[in-house]
Amino acid sequence: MEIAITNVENASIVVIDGDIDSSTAPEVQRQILPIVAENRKIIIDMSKVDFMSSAGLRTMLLIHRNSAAKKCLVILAGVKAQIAGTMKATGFYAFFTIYNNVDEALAATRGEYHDGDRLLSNA
Amino acid sequence: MKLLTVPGILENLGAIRQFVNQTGREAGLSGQALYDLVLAVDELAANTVLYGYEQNRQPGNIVVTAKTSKTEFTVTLEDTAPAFDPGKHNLPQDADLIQPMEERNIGGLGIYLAVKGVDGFKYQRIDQKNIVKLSKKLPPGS
Repeated sequence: MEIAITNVENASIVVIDGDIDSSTAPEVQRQILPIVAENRKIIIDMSKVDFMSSAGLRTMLLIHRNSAAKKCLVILAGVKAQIAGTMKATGFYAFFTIYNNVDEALAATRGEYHDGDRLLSNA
Repeated sequence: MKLLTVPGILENLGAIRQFVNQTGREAGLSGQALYDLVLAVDELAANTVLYGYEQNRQPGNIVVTAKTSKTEFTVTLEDTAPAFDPGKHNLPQDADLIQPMEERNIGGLGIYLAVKGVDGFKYQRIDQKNIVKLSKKLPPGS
């Protein structure tokens, strides 16, 4: 699993490439939590993640809690159907802001969701 | 029957998933059914490593066997950690799974996904070993 973070416009894009399991989830957490900051927008590109276990869910939960506390907008993009299925089965899906791909997520950061209100009101 | 033996460390979860993916595909599983089984095996193996071996400072192997019958594909996980029946673990209830993220209890999700994701689940303690059998029904004609 590899993680690449780039800054574009007003958002950070985090590309995760590989499986998120108990051995790799701590690295996801280590790289993403520090960039969760006040009024920031983070798009997590999941289109190259084929597998995510509950260890990944726990990491997502921590990212969600930190971002909500800091009014940081976190968007998941390109979540594969089976991972979305796991997020639905555990009641995670509805609490996250999710777009089909990074382009749609970026468009959203330019538009009506700029202050993270949707994320907070969803929770 | 196919068999994989690996040291019970987190770095081997990928190899265990690959073994289940490959043998399951050969047996005729695919799509969501195969993913659910791979997820179930991964969750239980991770649990064995973290709470069976590492927490007790007692390293050991994980033995994975794959067996196909006419109607189902069965993966068996064996470890030598202290006795633990995942089927008796307190699982999150429906009411827990609609709680907002801020109020979520972080535990139990892995075993919940494992038990929920298979058609057959059986735990046995034999000769100081935990033996968990997970099975998926095969699609007709496979």
